[in-house]
Amino acid sequence: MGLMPDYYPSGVRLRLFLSFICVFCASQLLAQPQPFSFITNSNSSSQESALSATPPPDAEFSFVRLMYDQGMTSFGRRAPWRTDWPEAETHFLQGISRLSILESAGQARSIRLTDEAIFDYPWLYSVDVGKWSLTDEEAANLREYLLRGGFMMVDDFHGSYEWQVFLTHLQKAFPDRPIVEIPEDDALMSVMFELDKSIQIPGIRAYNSGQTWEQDGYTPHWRGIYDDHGRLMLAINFNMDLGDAWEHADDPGYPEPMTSLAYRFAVNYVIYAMTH
Amino acid sequence: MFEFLFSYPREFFQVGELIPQTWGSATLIAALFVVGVVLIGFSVLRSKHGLHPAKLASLALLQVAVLVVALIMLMQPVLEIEELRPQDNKIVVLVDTSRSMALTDDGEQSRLQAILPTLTEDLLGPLQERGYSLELQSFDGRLDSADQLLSVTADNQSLITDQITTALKAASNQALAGLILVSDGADNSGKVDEVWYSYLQSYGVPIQTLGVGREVMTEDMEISSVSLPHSTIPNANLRAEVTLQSGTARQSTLKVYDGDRILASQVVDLPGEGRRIQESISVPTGEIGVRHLRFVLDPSATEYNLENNELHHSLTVAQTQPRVLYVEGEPRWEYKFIRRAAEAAGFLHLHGLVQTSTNKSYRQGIDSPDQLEDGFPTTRDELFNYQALIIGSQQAATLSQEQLSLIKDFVDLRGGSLLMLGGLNGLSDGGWQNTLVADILPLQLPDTESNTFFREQASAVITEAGLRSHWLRVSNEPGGKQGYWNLLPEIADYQLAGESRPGATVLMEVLHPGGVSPLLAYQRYGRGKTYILATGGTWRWQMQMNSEDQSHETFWQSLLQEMISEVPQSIDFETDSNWYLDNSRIELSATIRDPGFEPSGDASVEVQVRDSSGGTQNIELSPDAERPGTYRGTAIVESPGLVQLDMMAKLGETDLDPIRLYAERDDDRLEYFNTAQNSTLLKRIAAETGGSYFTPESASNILDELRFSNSGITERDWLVLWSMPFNFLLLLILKLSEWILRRRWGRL
Repeated sequence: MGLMPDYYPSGVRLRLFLSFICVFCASQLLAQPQPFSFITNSNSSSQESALSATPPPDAEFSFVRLMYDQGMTSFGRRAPWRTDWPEAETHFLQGISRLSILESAGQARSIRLTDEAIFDYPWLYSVDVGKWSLTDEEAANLREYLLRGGFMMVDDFHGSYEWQVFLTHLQKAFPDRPIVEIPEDDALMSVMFELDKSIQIPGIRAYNSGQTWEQDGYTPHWRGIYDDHGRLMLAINFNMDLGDAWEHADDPGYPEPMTSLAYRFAVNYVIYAMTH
Repeated sequence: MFEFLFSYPREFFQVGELIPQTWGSATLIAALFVVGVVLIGFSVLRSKHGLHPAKLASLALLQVAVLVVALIMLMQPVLEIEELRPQDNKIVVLVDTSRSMALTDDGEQSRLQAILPTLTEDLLGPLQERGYSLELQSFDGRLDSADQLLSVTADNQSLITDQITTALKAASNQALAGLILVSDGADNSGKVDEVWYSYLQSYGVPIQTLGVGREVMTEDMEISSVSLPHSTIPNANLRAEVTLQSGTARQSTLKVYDGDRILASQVVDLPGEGRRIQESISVPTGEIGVRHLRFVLDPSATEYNLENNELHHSLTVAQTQPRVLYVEGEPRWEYKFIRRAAEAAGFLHLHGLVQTSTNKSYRQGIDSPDQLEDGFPTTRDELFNYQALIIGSQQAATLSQEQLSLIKDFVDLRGGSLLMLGGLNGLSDGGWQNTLVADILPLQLPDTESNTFFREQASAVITEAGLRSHWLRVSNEPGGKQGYWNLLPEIADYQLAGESRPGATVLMEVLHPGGVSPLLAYQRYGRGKTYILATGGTWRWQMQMNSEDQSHETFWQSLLQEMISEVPQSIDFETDSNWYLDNSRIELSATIRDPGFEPSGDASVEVQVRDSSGGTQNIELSPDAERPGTYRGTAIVESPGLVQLDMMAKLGETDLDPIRLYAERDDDRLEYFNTAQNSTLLKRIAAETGGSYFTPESASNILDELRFSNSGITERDWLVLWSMPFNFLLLLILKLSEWILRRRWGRL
């Protein structure tokens, strides 16, 4: 029991030790993805979620968040795949309904790559991928998902270290497919709104601390992986946090222009995914 | 037996005319009959000996019958016949010496050699013996003796029609009693029709036909025809309809070559007995250029006519790509995946117009920045520039009445194809049932206020009609379509699109909790076609299948190709055939329409014909008075080989896009097709002219048939009938019957 100071009585030390074990276990449970998909009521800001097997889509478009295991343990924090959940998708769906005539599902979903139902949802969002970890099976399914015609947008990871983590696991799916900067003249940049790639959309913590970057991710990058026919299938928002921009759309402290731009990028990503 | 009883052959009674009375008058015979009957009555009553009246009547009846027979004999009936006078009449024996007569039926002798003994022994010899003036002709001309047939080289075309009429004309000023045609019935003149039969009848000369060759060539296989357009688009898969036949049921392999490169191969089951079947084979068109396609049926080991196992077709792969307009009223996954399938096909331009927000549409694949700038086309020129139109989940109310009317004209007048898809705003849920467009659709859209679109996964199943359709296949495995459809994942959604209209064809159905509804249907309307695919969820065939799987792509590429096939161009150029076998005459036809697809009757159209020898000729096409906008002409190609045809047209001062086609003249091949004896033609020729059809076994009967020919110089003869043994035999039977009855009743 070298972990405890000697001035605690032995009974107290035992209780403290057991409490520590319980807290540790609870934090690990929270950090791991659930074996079920989460269905989020976008009309509610509460974090209540219903556990169920993934039902088929009930609208043309569904916001689907990718559930993944994280590469390293983070004590006491919720799993990185749940970052910004559920306000981000709630606000995202409201925004896309306002800006387009797309029929979108009221409820967002969260799915693991090992769930066959993923192929019923050709649009996928993954956040905080600087901490993700993909098993070989998940990597193979991700590759298959994208090659069949699915589209994935990854977001909210920053700096060289997180890039390396992201890349390591992505390359399990696409070991030889290059990651490129999305050209200015790509249809993505104008499919619905004319977009400006030079603006870095910051996370709220970074913004509150007076900067737009995190870690050493000073420069925003709109990157992607294209298929053999020149169609973007994986959109990589590096050194940016569109999820925070959506999540804090109703936060007076977060700059409205950033939220607007994040919405516009989101709409373009979705329309692009549904037309290319 | 017949001749023994009636003294004369049966044919006499068939051709002769019966004259019932040559002695006495009708009054005298009637009086004798009355007296005879009275005497019989008196005699019977006088000696009734207590017999029952019925028995008496039987005896009286027998005696009256005897009286009748006797009176008939007394009348001395005769049979009047007209018989040819051999010495005054001419018989033409026309022997088919075309190349098909050089074919062998037994692997040893040619048809000509095989029929020669019958010809000399059963026909020519007896005819000469009877004194007929005989003229023996081959397709090359007159022969002095049958032996000369052996030295005739069978290298003529089978032009029976021409040969018969030539022979009849040549003998028209002579007493021609008949023409005997010795032939296998192969005719490649293409002139056999009702007019020709009437013409034949006008000579009044009976034609006796002697059929040569087997009616079923058991060891032979044949490619009878190939149906394929003359020109097509690059990188498409054309479905060639190939007609095949075989004498015996067997399996073979149908191959398609471009020169020496094999393009397609397919195992085919041939039913035998000469029955024709149609096989559909997919032919990749490849890049722009000309494909000299060879369709080849692998021969069997015992086959000796290999010439008809191969058929040629020149296919021009043109530079122009059809254009398809696809409008979507909302962003949909279906749009994305249809677009991907179309892009992968590479044989068409798909212009997309997707409404993304209330006031904004996304234009995709367009040719210029101003194209579709104002949304859905508003003018004929703009819309008619497309070959096909796809309308997705779009409210009908987003289009004006003029635009709806344009869509109808697009199908009806322009001949374009329209495909309506199911969707949240599609078909009845989009209000289309109350528009002009609903009238041209293959399904009667339900007029209901309740939703007809269901976002529920459901199974698509192919119908019997779908199985028969040549294009609706997701697998190239023969006969595997049904199983393949069952393996496909469910579609993402479906829509109730109503019942099928008369004349429409339902190719696929959807199984849903409410039952079964049409999923894919089409019909012809005006000059074009309309389709309904009552779902927006075929994209699951892509996302639920392995990324290497091509089911979704194949389905959509086939459907799109079917939609754009047969869609008329504003400028069309055609020839009547593509492979001219023993035929130098090419019929040319061009159709010129303005951008609004109104026929242009004041164009100048010229075709430059370049044959294989390098010789060129320019043919000016003339307007067809009955078909405005159509221009016709004829080219005579002197040399066999490939022929290049360049159509150049001018409308006013404007040069229209030229069109190039290829054709091939191939001599010495036609005779090897349809080699079985065409007894149907030979029987019809005989029947139409008053003659008969004979086989080599019955050839000797031709002489009897000729004897009573109603043509030529005849002599009339009366044959006495009263002395026929039959009459006396009848009398004997009647009296014997009476005697037996009397003896039985004890009243002799």
